Amino acid sequence: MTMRILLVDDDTFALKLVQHQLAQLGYTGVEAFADPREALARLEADPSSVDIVLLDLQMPGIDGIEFVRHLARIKFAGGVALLSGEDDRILQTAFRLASAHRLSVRGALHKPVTPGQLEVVLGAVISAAPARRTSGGTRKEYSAERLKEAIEAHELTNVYQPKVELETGRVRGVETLVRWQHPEDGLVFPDQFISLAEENGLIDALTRFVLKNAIAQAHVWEAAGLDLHVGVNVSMENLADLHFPDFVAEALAAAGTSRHALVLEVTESRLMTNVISSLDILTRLRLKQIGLSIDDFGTGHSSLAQLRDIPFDELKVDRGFVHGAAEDASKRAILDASLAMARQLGMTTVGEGVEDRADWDSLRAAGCTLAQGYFVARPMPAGALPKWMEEWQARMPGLIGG
Amino acid sequence: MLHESMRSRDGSAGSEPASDSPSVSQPSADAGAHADAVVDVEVLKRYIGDDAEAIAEFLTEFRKSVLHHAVELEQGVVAQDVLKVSRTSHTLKSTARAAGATAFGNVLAELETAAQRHDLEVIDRYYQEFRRLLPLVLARLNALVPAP
Repeated sequence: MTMRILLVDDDTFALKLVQHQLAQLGYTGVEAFADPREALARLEADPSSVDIVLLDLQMPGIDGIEFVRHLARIKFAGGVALLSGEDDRILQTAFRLASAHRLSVRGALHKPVTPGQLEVVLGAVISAAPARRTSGGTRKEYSAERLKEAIEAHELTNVYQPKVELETGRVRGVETLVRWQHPEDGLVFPDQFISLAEENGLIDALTRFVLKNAIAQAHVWEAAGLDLHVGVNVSMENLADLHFPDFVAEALAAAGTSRHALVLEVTESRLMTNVISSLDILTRLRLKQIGLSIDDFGTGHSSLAQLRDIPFDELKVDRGFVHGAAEDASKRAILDASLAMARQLGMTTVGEGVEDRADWDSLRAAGCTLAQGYFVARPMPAGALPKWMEEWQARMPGLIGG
Repeated sequence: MLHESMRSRDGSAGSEPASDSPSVSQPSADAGAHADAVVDVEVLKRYIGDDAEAIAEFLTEFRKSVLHHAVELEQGVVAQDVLKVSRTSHTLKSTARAAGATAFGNVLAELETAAQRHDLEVIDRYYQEFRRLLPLVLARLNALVPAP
């Protein structure tokens, strides 16, 4: 498949530089625009014919933020990568803004961009492409009814991404993620159906399905002598249902899985609503010896209050403060402070979004407990885990030495 | 055509820098002493590869960009138009860094920051440094790719 790339940068040198790099990397389907208005007109005419937009932020006429807003307006389903000479905080804010528009943001890169960075960003688009696209090249939309059928017909499937100890390399656990194994469209990623589930009252059924599968899988691993904590993301709706702790305890008992094998991951920003019921449910889960993890830490607005009020035993620092921390003093400061607080509270710490050796090394140096991210392993079916563990054993000495 | 000096590290960069220039990430005193500190082609190669024709093309493009933006920057400084100073130095900063003119890029970064803070005094200080480095950068570019 030829990837169709639309490049927008008002600076001639930068435009030529990235064009040259893309050509060297073998990407031939590149359209370059120095005028963002022309690029927008091109996209509006046929948005589905572009796989990814590489977008400068600082441009006269329409700046990158306005451009992103227009991409959201036309429901652009391809990937977006931001390229900018702005400082990291502005770049990260733009990244979050584009993500909040539900665009598929593949990266935020500082200019000048290296060929290696482009390759990583475009590689992510390639790996997501089979799931994102149908044969017609457009993002397929599913109905709530079809998703409901899929949940009932067990078309959803769990995949697992390992978490490993930075000190010893030992595999300590996995995070459960969900995919839809669609009979016609192949593997569909969660960004294409989670919002649909949330908006149509299906998220509770979806989460419970994923949770039951994960609990059953945890039992299989326990029986095989593997001591793995299995993390499962819980939704806002779960945290509004006062019966949820009993459901979890009953599911564990029915499967014969140890309670300590389960860790429920709660996204920090989701705790904002209905604080009392969240606190009730989370405290009861802890009383039942079920692990609680605060996910994407640092991205919400009340991080410290939640750490104080809720008995979490694991803190996952958001990828935004992990990837690239070695070169960015602001990220490093937030990472160090988050880890220090978690340690004071006796929590296990996890660095999310470990994408390269530099991320791994900086987390190790900062004294983080666990690492999770593509550098360690991509999410995989349960059956692929033993083989990956063998490969990891071979790779580990080079990462924990010194 | 790529000039021979692009392959060597002994090209001349021109006059010695002023001694009272503000400090930037790379000591400016080194800029005149080592031509590669003014425009280091090895940096550009990391971005575009080792193809002589492409290097010549990008250095030529960089020279055009420097000449264009130097005029814009001067206009901005004279008119105390901080938005223009900020935008111009922002654009040329990334280009300079990609082309291997690291010290020049660092001065532009300082100019951009000063302009964003509306600090005319600091703008003036770094603009003087920009004006000091400008002929060194152009001389080095002319040595690498003779002007048409």
